[in-house]
Amino acid sequence: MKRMILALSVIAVLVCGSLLSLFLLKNRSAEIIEYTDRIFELYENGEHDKALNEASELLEYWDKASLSLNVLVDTDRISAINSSVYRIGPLIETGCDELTAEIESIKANAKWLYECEVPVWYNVF
Amino acid sequence: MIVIMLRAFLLYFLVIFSVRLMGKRQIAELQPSELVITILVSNIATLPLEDVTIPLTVGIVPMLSLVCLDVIMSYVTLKIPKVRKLVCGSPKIIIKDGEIDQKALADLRFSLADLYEGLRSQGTFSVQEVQLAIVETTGKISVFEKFEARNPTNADLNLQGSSLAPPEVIISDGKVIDAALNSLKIGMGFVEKILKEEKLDVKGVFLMTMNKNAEYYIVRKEKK
Repeated sequence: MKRMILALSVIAVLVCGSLLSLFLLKNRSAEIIEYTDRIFELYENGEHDKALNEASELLEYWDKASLSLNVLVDTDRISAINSSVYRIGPLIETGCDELTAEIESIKANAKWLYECEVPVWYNVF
Repeated sequence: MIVIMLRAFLLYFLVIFSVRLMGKRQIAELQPSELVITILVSNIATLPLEDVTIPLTVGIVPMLSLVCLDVIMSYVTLKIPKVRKLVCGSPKIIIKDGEIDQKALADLRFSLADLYEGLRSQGTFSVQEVQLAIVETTGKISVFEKFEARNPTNADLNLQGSSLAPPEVIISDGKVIDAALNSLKIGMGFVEKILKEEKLDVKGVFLMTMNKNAEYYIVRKEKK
């Protein structure tokens, strides 16, 4: 019976941990999407300096967030966002038209980061 | 992580189903659920070990999920016989009164060679000598021989004697095993007295065993 209680406790801890990680992923990806939306808006309004500032804030946030994300998801999925986040600043500085694509790529990858952890049938199978 | 957990649970039932489908002869010794756990855990453990891009949690979560699920399943099978029958199967009689049940043998996909191999491993070489042979849920064959083929027991021969527990190891490689002393209800003083008679100390003993009648056996440590 002790073993049974222990097993049920472990399952409970795992479920709680899983839900917590899901919440964390949702938060992180929402935050990243918000950053990228703000950067794009500022860039479109011609406020390049503010956009650059926001991009460096995103970079700072990402550096911290990626550490905890590394524990929860595959490195491949994190590095996909990583490379795009690092490219935003230089793209704003040069006024390159690839910025829009890069921002969309970050948003899609951040969304995917959370969405593929949601317990829905198409993720399970 | 919850997706990984759900996947692990799904895989557990899927592999149990596969093992049950394969039949008893594929199992050999392990219960189906134990075999499933062995297969899955060994595979899951290697994933984060081989690939450093996979977080350790990806290995830990399914492994713990499966082991806990197995504990829960074993409890459920203990309480609900129908579930036990479903997961572990049930023993099948293949020989009765020296006659082979060919239908049961075909159901189990046991060939005559498999049957004879199982009988031989139980020390029986003739089907006619078998009163009852059962294929257990682990795939092992249990044999109950006919009266004329059975070895006589002490009771059959009317031999008198007492049932004595086997001797226990009380010193192993120079170390006293307290649990054995407690089990035999003797003190360290008694052991030391014996060792003194044998002109030995505890460290000089490689093995010392004793039974309830205080009959002991000592192996001295070899000098290096």
